[in-house]
Amino acid sequence: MTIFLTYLRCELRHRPWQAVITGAGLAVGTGLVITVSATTSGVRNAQASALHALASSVGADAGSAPGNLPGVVNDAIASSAGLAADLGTWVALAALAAAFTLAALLTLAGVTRRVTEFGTLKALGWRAGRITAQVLGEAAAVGTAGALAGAGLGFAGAALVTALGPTLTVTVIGTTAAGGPQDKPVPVHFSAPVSPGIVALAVALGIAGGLLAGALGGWRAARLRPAAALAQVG
Amino acid sequence: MYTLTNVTKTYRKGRETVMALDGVDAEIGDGEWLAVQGPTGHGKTTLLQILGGLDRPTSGTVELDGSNLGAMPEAELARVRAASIGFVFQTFNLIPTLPAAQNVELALAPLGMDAAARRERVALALEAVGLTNRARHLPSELSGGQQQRTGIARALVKEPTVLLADEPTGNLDEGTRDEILALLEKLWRERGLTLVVVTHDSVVAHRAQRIGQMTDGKLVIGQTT
Repeated sequence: MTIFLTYLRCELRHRPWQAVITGAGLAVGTGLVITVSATTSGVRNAQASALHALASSVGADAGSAPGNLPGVVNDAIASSAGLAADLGTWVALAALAAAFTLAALLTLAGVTRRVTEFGTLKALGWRAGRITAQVLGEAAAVGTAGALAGAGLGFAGAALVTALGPTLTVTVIGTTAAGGPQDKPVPVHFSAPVSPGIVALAVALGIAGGLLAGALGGWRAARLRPAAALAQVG
Repeated sequence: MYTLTNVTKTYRKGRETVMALDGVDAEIGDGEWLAVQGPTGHGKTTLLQILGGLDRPTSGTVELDGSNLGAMPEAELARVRAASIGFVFQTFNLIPTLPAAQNVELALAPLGMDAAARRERVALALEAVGLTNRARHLPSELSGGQQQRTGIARALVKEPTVLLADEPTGNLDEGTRDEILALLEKLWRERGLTLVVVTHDSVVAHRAQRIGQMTDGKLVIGQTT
């Protein structure tokens, strides 16, 4: 265990750039999942607030909304909110997929660069499983750090969306003191609440991305024939 | 003791089949120092890799102390390499991110020793090659000769019975070459190693007990010097 940790520490210390780029990619992917999810929740909450306000405007008590709204209005609001949520989900998934791909490619490139090193380890009697574990461990450490940093990015992103999010105004028809009709603006505050469940899921996905990259890299490193790996020297 | 019987090794190179070893027969006794000379591309390194269990013969048998290396499962071969065979490389092959002591310690990882025992062995190995005061230095902070000393310490820290060296002085100047040769000879004598050295350098070869000439994949071993 000590050798494993020393090797890991020295790799990260003396060859940091690959780890930084891989971790940053996973962090951005993880952060986007959290931010987009929080924004989607915010859109849904805003939709619910708007529906309540509109329900009030048609004379029903807010507690019975949105059933008292004309179906076409209800459907239109629900469908626009759903469209925004779907679009956000796809953007987040695309970002996460890009982060996974980047992590996998960088890890494989790292293994290719270290072919002679792994050939040497095999010459020293390291079994394929130990080399796989080393590569996997390095990738898992980078993935975990990236995912945790991504959680921070996600919270920051959600806070930014909340800070920059517009306060929407729903104009409903109220009544004057004399009983006549009157336009009445109702503010709908937009915020992007972060769900602990989504944070846990996003961090797990980020770590999974690191592990996936490590598994691919470890598999490639383990398959190297020592003679062929050493033949690449000079 | 190594016994090689009609060992051949062929490679595919594009559409061609290259005969790297062509019917090699040899015996290398325990504690013997054999040098193998020959032109580039005539099979010297292939022979060394087959002796070290890094590659398998296409046909024939390579026995180390009665065990056929070519027929062993990979895990068993790895165990033999970990316990019994040390390698020294022309390009040193040190892990660039690890200090000298940790490079040496890597050779002990497969042996399941506890940390204190590993540290003690590493300290002794570095002392044996005169590098105690360079234990914390990265390879990039060491001279070529010091890097090769680290490589030798890494090969010997597990106390193998066999040491296989592929052009161990090929990247060194004459003075450093002589230092490394003297060190190898000292360790060979002290530890009773079976030492096989592949080299272009006649000065290196003539320090050995026997010299083998490798030409077109065929090995001819001369008389004991």
